[in-house]
Amino acid sequence: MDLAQVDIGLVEDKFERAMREAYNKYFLTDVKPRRILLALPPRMPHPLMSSILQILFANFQAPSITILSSPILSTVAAGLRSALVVDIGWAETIVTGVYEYREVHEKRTIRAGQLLSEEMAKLLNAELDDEAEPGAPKTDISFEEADEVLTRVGWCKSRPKSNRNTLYFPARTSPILEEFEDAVETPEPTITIPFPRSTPPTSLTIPFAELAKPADQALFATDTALNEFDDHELPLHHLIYRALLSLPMDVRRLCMARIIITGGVSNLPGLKSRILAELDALIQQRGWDAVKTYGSVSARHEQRLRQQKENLDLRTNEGEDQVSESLIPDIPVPASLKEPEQDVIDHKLAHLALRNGPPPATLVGGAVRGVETLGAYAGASLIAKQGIRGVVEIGRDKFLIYGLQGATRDKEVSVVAQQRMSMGPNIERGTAGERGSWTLGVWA
Amino acid sequence: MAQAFPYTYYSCDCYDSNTNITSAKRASQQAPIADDEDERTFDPRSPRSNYSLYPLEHLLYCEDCQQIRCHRCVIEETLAWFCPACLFEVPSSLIKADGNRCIRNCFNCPVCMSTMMVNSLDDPTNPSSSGGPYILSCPYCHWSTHEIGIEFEKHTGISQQLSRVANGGRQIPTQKERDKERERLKDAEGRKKDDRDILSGSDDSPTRDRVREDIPPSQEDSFSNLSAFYKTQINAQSPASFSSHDVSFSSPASYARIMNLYSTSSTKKQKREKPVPMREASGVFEGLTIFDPATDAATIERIKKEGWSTTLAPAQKLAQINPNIRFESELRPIPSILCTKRGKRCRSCRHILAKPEAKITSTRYKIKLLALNHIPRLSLRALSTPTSQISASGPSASAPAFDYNALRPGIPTHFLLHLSNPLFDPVRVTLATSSTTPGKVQSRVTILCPQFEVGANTDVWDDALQSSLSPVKRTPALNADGQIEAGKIWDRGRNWTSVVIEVVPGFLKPVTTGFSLGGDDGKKKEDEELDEDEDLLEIPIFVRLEFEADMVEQERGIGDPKRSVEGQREKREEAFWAVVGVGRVAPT
Repeated sequence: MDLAQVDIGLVEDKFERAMREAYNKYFLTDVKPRRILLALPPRMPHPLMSSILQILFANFQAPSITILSSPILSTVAAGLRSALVVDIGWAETIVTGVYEYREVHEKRTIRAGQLLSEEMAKLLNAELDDEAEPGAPKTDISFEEADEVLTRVGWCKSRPKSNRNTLYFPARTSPILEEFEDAVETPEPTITIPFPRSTPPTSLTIPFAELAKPADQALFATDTALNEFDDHELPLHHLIYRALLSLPMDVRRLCMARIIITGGVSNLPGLKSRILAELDALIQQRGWDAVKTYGSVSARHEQRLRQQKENLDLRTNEGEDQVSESLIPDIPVPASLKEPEQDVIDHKLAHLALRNGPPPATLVGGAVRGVETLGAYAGASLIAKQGIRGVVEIGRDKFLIYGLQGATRDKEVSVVAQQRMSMGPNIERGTAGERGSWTLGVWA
Repeated sequence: MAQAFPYTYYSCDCYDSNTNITSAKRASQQAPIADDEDERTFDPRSPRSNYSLYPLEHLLYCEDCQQIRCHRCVIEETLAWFCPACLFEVPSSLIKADGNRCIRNCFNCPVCMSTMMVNSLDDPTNPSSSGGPYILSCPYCHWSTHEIGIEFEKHTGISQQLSRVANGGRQIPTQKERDKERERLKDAEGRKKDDRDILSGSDDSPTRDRVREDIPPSQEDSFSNLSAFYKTQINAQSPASFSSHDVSFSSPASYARIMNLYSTSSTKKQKREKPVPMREASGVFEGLTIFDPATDAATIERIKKEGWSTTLAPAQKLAQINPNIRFESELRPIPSILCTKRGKRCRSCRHILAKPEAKITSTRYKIKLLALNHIPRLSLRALSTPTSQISASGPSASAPAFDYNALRPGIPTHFLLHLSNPLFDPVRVTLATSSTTPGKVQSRVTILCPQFEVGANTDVWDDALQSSLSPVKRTPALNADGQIEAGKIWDRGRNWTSVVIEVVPGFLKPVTTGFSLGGDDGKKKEDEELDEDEDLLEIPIFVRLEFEADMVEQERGIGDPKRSVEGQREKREEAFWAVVGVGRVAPT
């Protein structure tokens, strides 16, 4: 986050006013000061953190503040231990790999709410200009209007564009899909949007399909070739794919079956399905190969992959015929495609593990699957409800004396030393005792 | 700042003192404060001053600290909660249990936010015994719970009835029933696990559960499911001896633990067991919700079919208890949010500054220390006829009413600054202002008489009696030429004094002809782009008061015996910034 141009004092003023309103109008807490649990993104700049803490301690008399990281809280609020949290916020989208309640990887892009809102405003301005008689001044709709349109009738095509289907999927399935996609509904469905604030008040009738374009444009950048993106503006599905790719294989297996899409923009209808579908398509097309192109040998590489796959298909097809097995001489099958040998002991062990261990549903992995979350704040409530204390817990008196400098350098409080099995390294269950020192954990 | 011109705002300097403390602590990248805090003139245009300027009526005054106290430097404490609709006082125990909303019959309309009424749908020709069914309806926009398919049997206890019915009339199971259901499902799952061949039989989930699952669980459902799941997991996790409740030595668990610690090592070793890590939620009843693209598609279809009017405006959505809804049919009446009566204390000395009466319907205060009673009130108005006629260059004032929204740039205009003293002691006032106002439109400001006295706020009759004895000089401070004489007050009364301020409003556009003020083109271009409210003429004035007052009782007690003589007076000083909004500069 770039704070060079930000007046921290002004941020403090605004934050203080917002908190005061929240306290007086909604929290309605009693006289006794309450502990505060803050959900912060793991890359919070220290000056901001410091001023937020300062205000909460000094102006609102909080006895202690616990800081928890928001992707982990989203994971908790989904009932998971590991997940790939895609937080589509205002300024940026952050993809965080969480494994066993610990952030293991993070990637970000600026394709998020702000860009989407701007695209929607652009679209509406263009449409309104078309309607207006020539010579009228250019319309410039306000943020509120654009945002209202976006949240009320904005949507996102839930399938990738048809021409890309043909690219991804084997030839057999695509034509049907394509026809289905391109079937134009008659009459074309339209939406009428009133603009009571413009002078004179107007209303705009716009084809329904148009309203899906900003999302296409802003979040998936369908018209731009991949090599034209800079590092900070990757489209969402590529970003998620790359994040998954850079995770270790075991973690990836768990994370890809636990994709949590959260953040304000994620409520856009169709967006979640679109992201998952795009991601699935990407994985089908590329596999887990970090190398995108093999240069001149790429054709051969692709061919080899295809052949392998065909061989496999052939074998499985033939496997159903009883006869062929004995007749066809052994074609050497690559080891990776062979059926693993069945071991009786393994089978028994697996059986035992299933009986005593966690239910099989918790072990799902290896396929793209989305999981709903209640959001980071609900996660924080869940944690607070169980009386779990975070690693980063800051006492009022110590902070007011030393500020953020008072934190010890240890990144983590040892969980084992307290002889307590916990929910994970970031969240531990504490007793009522006070800690001697405190740490900033991942925020240090 | 939407107040009519001219206005006066007082600055509370609490943020300055605040940043002084914090900036020392904030080690990293605090911009170095170049000039001394005291030397800096107050800038009403800086974005931060929005947060420190208040009308005099909003400010409190701490008598112990002898300082103005604004909203930011008081601590508020809630004394009582009540519902603004039914004026029912809610005890604090209920707040803890039931939250911040009225749990009686008070609801706001989800469409227009006005208070809803309970109406009977009774058929007059065929009246039912109870007079029902009833609906909640909005007297303003005529929205009613009938539209979301909810009717009530009784006309009281609406919120309880409402909590049991979902939109469309479906019954919502209560928390207890849900818990029971969850237990049942879990048992069923457990039994199934024992019965079936585990590796193969993962497909045959019971059809009975499927039927229930076609309604996706609501957010509260998921939350309570998750909460219950984590609870069981944590309980299963921690051995009994470590639960935080029974740390006392009397409990058998901790007794066993202590025995374990002090017994021979052989038993200690074997006890240590590798704990099983907590698992993830595995199904809906544990709070896991798998994303389903079908709901997405259904939403899109619905928007396509029903259009703009069925969707919710952001304000309506945010007012709902569950803001994650999209369509009108999902609206629910909003229980009205409670209001509070709050006392205020000074943040630094903890003295009570304001305390309302405990009765809900009373608007009176037990304690109320207003700045109004301690700080002189400054007010500004345009000085009318005599000067403008004489100065001849003020055609703006020739109009019967002075137009504060169109100040003529470049033309000296006179204003009267009026100070009235609420204190019972005469006050010596020193005013100071910078000669030009900050901002891009620079106006020249001169206070013609910066030092003067304001009389004490004595009894009104004193004035009447004294005036005959010592006539107050009421002749306008004009000299022989008819010019306003500098260094003389304009007029004074019993507890007020007014002085003249001369203002030369600046030009909105930099003057290119006439005077050659210098300045290269680049600078001019920059100047031409005026921000919003740049034409606003606000004068920051530093006010310093000196007066002799009776000593505060406390100080009298603690102070040394010499000073504790009754009736001892002490010299006091007070200083603050005020901002006077004069008007808007008219474009030339």
